[in-house]
Amino acid sequence: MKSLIFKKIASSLFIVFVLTIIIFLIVHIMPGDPVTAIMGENPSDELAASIRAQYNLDKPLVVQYLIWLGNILKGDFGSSIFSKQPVMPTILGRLPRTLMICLIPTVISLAIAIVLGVVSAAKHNSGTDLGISVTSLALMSVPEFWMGIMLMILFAVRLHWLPAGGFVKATENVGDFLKSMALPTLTMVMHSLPSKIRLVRSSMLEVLGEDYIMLARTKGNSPNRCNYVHALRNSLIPIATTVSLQLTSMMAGVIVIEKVFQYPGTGLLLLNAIKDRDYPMIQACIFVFSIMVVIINLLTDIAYAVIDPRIRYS
Amino acid sequence: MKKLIALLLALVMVLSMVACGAKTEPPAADAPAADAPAADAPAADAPAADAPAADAPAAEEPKESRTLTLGQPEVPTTLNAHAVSSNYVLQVGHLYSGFLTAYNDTYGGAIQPAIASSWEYISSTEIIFHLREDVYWHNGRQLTADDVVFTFDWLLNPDNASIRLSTFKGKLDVGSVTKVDEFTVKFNMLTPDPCLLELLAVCPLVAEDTIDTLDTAPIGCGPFKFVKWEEGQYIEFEPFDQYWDRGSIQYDKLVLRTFADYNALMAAFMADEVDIMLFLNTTDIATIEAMGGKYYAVTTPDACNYMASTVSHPVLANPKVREAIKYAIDKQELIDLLLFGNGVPISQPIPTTNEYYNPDLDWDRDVERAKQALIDAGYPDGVELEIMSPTARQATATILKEQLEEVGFRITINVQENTPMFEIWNAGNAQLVLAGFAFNIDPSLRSNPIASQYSTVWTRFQYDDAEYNELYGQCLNETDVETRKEIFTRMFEKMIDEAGYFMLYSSTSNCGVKSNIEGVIYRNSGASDFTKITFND
Repeated sequence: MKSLIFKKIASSLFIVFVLTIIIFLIVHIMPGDPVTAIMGENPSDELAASIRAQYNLDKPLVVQYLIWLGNILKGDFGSSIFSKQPVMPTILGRLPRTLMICLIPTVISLAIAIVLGVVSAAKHNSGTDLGISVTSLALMSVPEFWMGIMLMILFAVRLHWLPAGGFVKATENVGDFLKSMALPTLTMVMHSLPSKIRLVRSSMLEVLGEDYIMLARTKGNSPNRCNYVHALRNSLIPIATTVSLQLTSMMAGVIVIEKVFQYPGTGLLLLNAIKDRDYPMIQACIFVFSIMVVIINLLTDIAYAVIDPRIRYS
Repeated sequence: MKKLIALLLALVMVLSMVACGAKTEPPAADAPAADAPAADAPAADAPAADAPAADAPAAEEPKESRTLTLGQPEVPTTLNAHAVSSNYVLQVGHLYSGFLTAYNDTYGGAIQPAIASSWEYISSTEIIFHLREDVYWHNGRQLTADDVVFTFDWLLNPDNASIRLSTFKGKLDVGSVTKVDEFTVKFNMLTPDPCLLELLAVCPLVAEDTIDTLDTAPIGCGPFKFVKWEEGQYIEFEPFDQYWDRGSIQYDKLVLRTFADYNALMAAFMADEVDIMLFLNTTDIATIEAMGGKYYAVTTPDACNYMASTVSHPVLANPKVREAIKYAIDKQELIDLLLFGNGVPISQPIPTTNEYYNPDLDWDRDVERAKQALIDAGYPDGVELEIMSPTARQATATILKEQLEEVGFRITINVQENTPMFEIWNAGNAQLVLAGFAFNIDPSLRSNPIASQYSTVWTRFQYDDAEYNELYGQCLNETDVETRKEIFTRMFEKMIDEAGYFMLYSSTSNCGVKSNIEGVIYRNSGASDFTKITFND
């Protein structure tokens, strides 16, 4: 087991190294550079040269990469070309907000999906099942940015119940914090819920057809006990795997939600940095996102090995 | 299982609340703790400006404070108006910075005194500015002539990477601005510039002891003192008590909310979370004004929209091709489709109300003449050209494509973000390009780009004409208005017929304002004034 974990960590480190090359190339292949973004319609060769020298942009690409890599190894991800502030504290300051907007909707949608998925499976082919399936399909077909805008128009513009965007820290005002979280969370929940309902439903249907469920029923267990205790527990294994993988895709989806609701997370930071070609900020943001995906995958791999001994010995 | 889920939910909530609250610190250490703009938002449909702050004491008596909330559709990454060429950052700069001169409230009217209370021309290149003696920096220090001298010495040094360097390069040099006495400075221009007073109206003054604060927690000498910046969300200011015109400001707090998305700003404006929506699209004026009188739009005609040619391109080098383009363009159709009629066709880089505008140079669309010109150019079967457009002008490009294709051109549209677009254009690798600029009162500045001996952006146009350069030199030195009119008329003729620099229409800077607010002076180009605002409720 230890050697397996060691191998996984080693391969993850290699992936991170390859990622640094890919990230650096992607950022520098993009048309435009920070100097053009800074100067806009007023270019000046003298000024451009000064800015390029200041940020090593006048050096060959390989040299720039090596300088960046060397600084990363020292824990220095550089400073924003625009705000002149170190990028990593800025990113880490916003990361909890992005994680929050991923994790809370995941947990809420999972809880709702389990209830609705079990009900749908237990009442297979009934009106309830059809209603849940059709609603899920309809929600799944709606792009999340459009859903966000519609919710904003309803709850902020029409009803004035919730703010249209922005974010208030919980330490400042808990009520306003919850209000500012409501619409982004609701949008994420509504977007991720349908796929989870369908997953729980299909997983439950498979388990409900097993012999041991039939046995549980014939032994006189109540339908609820059969569904929620015997069937659900066994159907959760594939669900847990899929949900962990969904979390990584949500990290990408959250950028759209952050933009729609002006939610100041890492995604919004990345978008603005790309617009301004703020190389240090873009590189550090993508690096952090990539590391998180690598860590989630690493943990998933290790969890598989823990759960399934065949993987350990293969 | 239910208990487990409930526990997980509670744990995630608590952890995230703690983590989120603890990480970011406000840039200003002495900033008030709980004054986020969302807290100022109305609970139901009461005006946002009236809402009490979230940190209001528990006592029942209402706090007599008033907040003005602005919103702009861009999230600045710096607050330093010397660091980037961005109207959004310049809007921020105008809140906290001081300026020697200012635009008056009527566009095209005149430049008026600000920190410079008066000025006198010794010669066409020597100007003396007399400074007000009651101007203070937000750290309490009095502004003197030394600060003005420092500002220009600092920005003219390329090592400091001030974007204003390109504005004053060739006009001033380090040492060109000298102190006469404690409150008098002298500008010794390298070359005459009729636009100097206008350029000073958008050049923030800086001081040696506060220069390092500009990026994130600026100390200026303008009407509003910086309080804090929640990056990606809002910037908070308060009126500066020692501001020389403090009495005109009738509110206690100014919050500038920043949005990465225009539609999100529009939603916040309509949800009454924003009092004044900056950078309102012309197409949305009708929308906000149709909402039962809750909002109105302030419009200022201050932008020129144009299509430029790179005349070194083999096809565009042909004068008959440029003539075909000129007569293929239907400016009124552009205005009707893009601005719902809220624009004016122009042929010169100044508004039609400017004294130097010559209506004799205007022309109407003539499809037959355009077709004939294309045939005469040697392209009876048409010719391929590319229009490069920034994302924001994609609709303009589409309409122009149809107009040009009607006379025989085959047009492809190359949509680029601003940054790469300027890179391609600066390198002289474009063909036709859509762009725009804010008008100046004097036409010389906007006639500069194609004057190869004077321009820093000449490579975009590749137009190198000795007569134009000579005319441009004359317009800088000449002071007689009638003579200048003749010079500019000739320059504009060459601009249209030889440089293929086609002005299309003038459009307006717009902002949406709640109906209980008056006195907004607004320009997209940054020279806005929110100090004269009154509340009529």
